[in-house]
Amino acid sequence: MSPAWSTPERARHYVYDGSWPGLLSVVFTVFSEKRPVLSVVRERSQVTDLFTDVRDVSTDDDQATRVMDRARKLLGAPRMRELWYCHLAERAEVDRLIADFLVLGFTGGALNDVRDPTVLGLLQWKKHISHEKHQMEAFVRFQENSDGVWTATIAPAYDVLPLIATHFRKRYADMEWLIADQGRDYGLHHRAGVVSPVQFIHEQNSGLPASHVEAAVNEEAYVKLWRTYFRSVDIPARRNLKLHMQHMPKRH
Amino acid sequence: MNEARLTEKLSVLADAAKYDVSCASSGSTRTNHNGGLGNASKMGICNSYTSDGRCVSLLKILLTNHCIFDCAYCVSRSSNDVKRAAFTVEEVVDLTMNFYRRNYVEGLFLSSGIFKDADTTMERLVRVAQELRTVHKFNGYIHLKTIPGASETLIHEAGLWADRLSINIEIPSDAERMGVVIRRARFFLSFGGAAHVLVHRPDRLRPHLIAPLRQNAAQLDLFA
Repeated sequence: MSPAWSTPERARHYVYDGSWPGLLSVVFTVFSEKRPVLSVVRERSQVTDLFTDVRDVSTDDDQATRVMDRARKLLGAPRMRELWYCHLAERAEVDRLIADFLVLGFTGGALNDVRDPTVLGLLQWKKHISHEKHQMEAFVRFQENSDGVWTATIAPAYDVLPLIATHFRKRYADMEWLIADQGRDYGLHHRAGVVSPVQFIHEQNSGLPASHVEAAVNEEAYVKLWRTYFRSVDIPARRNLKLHMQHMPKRH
Repeated sequence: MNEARLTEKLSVLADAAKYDVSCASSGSTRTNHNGGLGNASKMGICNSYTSDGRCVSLLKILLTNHCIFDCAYCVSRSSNDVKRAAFTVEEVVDLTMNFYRRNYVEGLFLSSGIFKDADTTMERLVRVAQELRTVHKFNGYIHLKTIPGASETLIHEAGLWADRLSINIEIPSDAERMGVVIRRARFFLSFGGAAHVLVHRPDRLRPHLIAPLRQNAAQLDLFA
């Protein structure tokens, strides 16, 4: 970062709407107004110190596109995709890393230097999120409903639904399915090769559609058969619960 | 569906297959090309883990544990007093499809005790794979055990439907004779065993590999 405008006194907090174009707009603002980042947050209330500057950034698609185009040229599409991966962590610290990283790149900084805490931090977050994605591909469990739709409910630590869509579209091409993210109130619906996001409207505590539809006739039988299988392949003499938990944490 | 009967069979035949080492679903890159069900993930996915920490990615079962042979090392030997059971082809197909649809497993691992003779048994295994692939458009992972002594045509056909074929070779742990036996076993694996799953096409110099193939010499050394 060039020293001219990165003096700590000029640093301030940025507030945005949480969307990916929103974050890119933040980067645009940081760069055009030359005020470095203290934090990037989604709610103004997350800023707790009294005497610093706070800047509200409204999402501007035009600015976002400009940042995106320039970043793609600088980083290449795959690496830009990794940044988007990291954004799905939905954490203020990661948003800040992303903003810092892009500003670092635009001001000619070294982006492959893993000694840099920003570069290293993003690499690690990318790993966390890929791991969560892979776990969700493995641990999603569908149930068949009487209307022929297959449903699954998950509660991933990060917003990985957009990442797992392709895997499930390819694998379960002949099924109509719905994967619901419990915590984020949205899901993915698949029918005949097309995956589209669906929003859930809250009814009491849980508005997940699965609770309104009855399970198919044989559903319970197959769940029981699976449990039988699982019990039968177990070798109790070699029980190693620590390893078991490492592979398959309780939340799954 | 006779649930109670199926549950009993499943517990007997999964139990009989659980000590088989192989449970990998990786290495194959089959895609879902016909709009059917499933594909194979190159890196493999563990959909679940047993309490001792082993990966469960396949429905690993025997077609039957009835066996005409009486091998001392095998739990399914005919003289052993264990509960016997047998699946029909339809039952295996149905279980595989339904477990797969629920994302419980990545595919099927099917082995069998030998009833009547090697060819009859092998033919039944091949039929399971064939039905999954053709009737049900199943593109998930299939691993078949080949039955020792089954005819070449059947093993070739198995290779056409399966993602992986394998054969178990049991060797006595007699140190004196070991060297000879291992050398023979290696010879079998590298020539006899491997040659079976290769399709020889007259227009090609090299045989065409139809299923991922791996000989596990390390395992041989381990048991020796």
